[in-house]
Amino acid sequence: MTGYLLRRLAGLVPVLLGITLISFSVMKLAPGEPTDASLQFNPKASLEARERMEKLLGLDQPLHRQYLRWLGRVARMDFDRSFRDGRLVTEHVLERLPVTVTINVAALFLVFGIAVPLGVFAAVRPGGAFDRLTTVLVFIGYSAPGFWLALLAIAWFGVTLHWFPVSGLHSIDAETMGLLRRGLDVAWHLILPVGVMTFVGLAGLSRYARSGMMEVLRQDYIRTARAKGLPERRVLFRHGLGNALLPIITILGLSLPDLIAGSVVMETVFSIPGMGRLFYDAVMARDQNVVMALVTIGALLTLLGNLLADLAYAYADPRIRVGSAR
Amino acid sequence: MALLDVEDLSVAYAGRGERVLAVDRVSLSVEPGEVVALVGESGSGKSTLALALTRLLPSPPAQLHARYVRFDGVDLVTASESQLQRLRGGRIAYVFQDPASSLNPVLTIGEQLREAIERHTDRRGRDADTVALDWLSRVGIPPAQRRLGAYPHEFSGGMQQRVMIAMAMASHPQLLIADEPTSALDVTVQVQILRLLRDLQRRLGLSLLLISHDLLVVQRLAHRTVVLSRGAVVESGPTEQVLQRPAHPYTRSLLEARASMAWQAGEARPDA
Amino acid sequence: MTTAPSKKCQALFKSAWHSNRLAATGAAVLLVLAAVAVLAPWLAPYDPLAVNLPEALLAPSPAHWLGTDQLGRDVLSRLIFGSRISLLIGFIAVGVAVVVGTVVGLLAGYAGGRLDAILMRVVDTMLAFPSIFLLLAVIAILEPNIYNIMAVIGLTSWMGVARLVRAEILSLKEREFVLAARALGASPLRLMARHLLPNAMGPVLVAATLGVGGAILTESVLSYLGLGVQPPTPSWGNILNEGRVALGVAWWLTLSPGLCILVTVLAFNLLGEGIRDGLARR
Repeated sequence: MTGYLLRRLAGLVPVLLGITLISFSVMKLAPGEPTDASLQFNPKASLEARERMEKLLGLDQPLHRQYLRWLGRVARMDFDRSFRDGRLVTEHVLERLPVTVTINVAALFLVFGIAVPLGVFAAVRPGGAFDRLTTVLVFIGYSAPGFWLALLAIAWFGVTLHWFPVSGLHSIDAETMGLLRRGLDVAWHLILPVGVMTFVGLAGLSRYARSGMMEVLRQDYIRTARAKGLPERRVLFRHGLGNALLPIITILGLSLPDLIAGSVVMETVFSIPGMGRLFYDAVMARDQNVVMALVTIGALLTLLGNLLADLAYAYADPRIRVGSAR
Repeated sequence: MALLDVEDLSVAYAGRGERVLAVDRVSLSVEPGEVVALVGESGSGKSTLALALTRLLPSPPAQLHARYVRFDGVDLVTASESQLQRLRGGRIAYVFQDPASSLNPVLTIGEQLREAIERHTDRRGRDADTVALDWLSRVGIPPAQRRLGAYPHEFSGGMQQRVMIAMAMASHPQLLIADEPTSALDVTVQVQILRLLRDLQRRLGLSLLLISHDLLVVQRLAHRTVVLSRGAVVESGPTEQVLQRPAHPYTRSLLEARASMAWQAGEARPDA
Repeated sequence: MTTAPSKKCQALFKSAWHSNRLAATGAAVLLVLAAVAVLAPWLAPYDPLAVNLPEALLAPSPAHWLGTDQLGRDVLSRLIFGSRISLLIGFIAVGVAVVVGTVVGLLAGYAGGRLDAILMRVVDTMLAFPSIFLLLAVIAILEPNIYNIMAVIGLTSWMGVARLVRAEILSLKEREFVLAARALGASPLRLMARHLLPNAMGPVLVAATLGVGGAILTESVLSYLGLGVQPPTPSWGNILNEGRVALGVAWWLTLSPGLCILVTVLAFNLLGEGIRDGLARR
């Protein structure tokens, strides 16, 4: 198990380097210099001042040195400052991270909790009414633009039915609420976005849950379990699901980049102040530092998610955890 | 009275428009303490028949018809699912061909043994584990490997099959149905497993329905032999008679195929 | 030996058609869509760019089947012309992805060893970026015109194809007909082009079909966020963008473009799945 872990970590190093390289290259592609932001509105900035600034920022150095310098800063989680308000990018990110993480984790839990039973029931009665209905819904969820579903949800549940608020995290009078009420208020605001994200995420996962479960139910050890006279429920859950969950864990990990990407759209549609919204605003404002910082962080988070999923799988599957046969 | 008495058992699969008979009006019986071999080429319906006996075949594709399938007086065709579940693994146990895929890879052998024991005996928990360990030693697993916390992939093929046999025997079944128990194993291991089965059978008075395509195995173990071709019984009788003086041309061709293989391998011919 | 690629294609389509009516429906829908896109100038009742302020935000009526937008433009006409954009971007972006992915996958699978390891690391690296992030970042740097959009979508979605092709090549490499061709002295290029590639194309076709749907979705997201096709050129995504502000009052600006996207992507998905089933059945 430790051997596996070490090998996985070693394999990450080139990918990490690759990510930073690509991020850096994209950054350098951007027209204009970082110095422009600080100096362009200052008519008194002389050529010397500009040159001094460039030296300070290391912009006069050859590219590979700049890269290494940038790499060092990234390793310290130093992403410089936002062009718009001069605050540290890291500060912005830390402010927004909890919101995005909360929404994504909530959606992840819901997706997992619903997709697995869905997949099990559909696999047990393939072709049945339940299976067909869920297949239709899944295809729609798969083919419809997420932001459109969000807009529809807003129009129907928010505007027409008035059940949920359509934007932001807090109601106008949130300041006056006690802690509990404020928490519930936030939750109320999050129901629509998390709901839509869950629906979209379900579309992806339940197909795998279903096919994974069907694959497992075809295996010989299921036949053995039945031949042992075990009640069908035990066969399905202990023997069937126990094995089917393994690939589902991997899929969950692999769907992390999609969730993070989805946050951009969802937070924009619902006006939620999360990392995704931060990214979108930064892109529209050409705030390069923030943009590239988030692109890099997004990639790092994806890697982290994959690693966690792999580790969970390695731990759950005795064939990897306990080591190979003699 | 026969322990297992099958009369006119058929299994049909409805394909696209056509109906295929995997098992065609088979009748056979197994007496208490008897070893009956079911032989035939692959595709002859042997395994389907074995699973059909306790209605283990998934029933939308497969359709079962029989005059009766009586086990110790009870007709399995009309029995309820819960009755069948009590019999399966309890009084009628199975051993399958490929132990590596027949054991659940994510559960320890201890957990899988305990499941069977708790289901069909009144032993629970620590008690059940004692029974499990006892059986592991009875099937010849050396003390060093008798770990209930071990996973199936930690064992070799032969050891895995012994575990499966232990799992099947732990509830003291009256009938053991072994579907090609040695075909997936190495040749040297095959002999050991067969010897184990024979010993268990003799010592416990177990009835054994042995499915095999290997006539040498059949000759060594079985009292009676039933020959199956394309789902139908073509010949049945005392093993010696069927193998030495085959009445049906198919049996003869099976024997000849076997003999020529054995001849090439330098073994003695079965009828020598 | 290898079967000629065209015979395989025929068998492919036949089995897909007969055994899967859903896929056939998808194909039919796509043919209609293609016809609409091609015949747009003749089908559209109004000029999609014609501003007509007195007629702004009209609900669907016999005069305007799908209503009008804030500038009085006919929604139906804009949707019809929008289909051109969607199909164009979808196909070309996927074309780029397939070409790049096939080349990478072919090289990696055939060469093996070091080159394979390096190329696969590149794939892993690209896959680590959440697609939207990279897309938005790059498009913001370049300007959001149609060509850039097609290129960037293509260049961020070739990785799946690369992996598929590589997997197929790896399994095909050891098959008899390849070994026989090598024994006969076939050059690597010939091997790749005539023997390996045609047989690997099956899964690629599935991925490409599904990929067009994905590309259309991606374009619609970009356009909705304002970084895709720029108005006044109509794209289903930017019509949704313009309709956002009027969501409460003009539901038709949101419902119909989204339905267009849904039906189109659904059709591609059904067709792709159908081809996949057809292939698996063989």
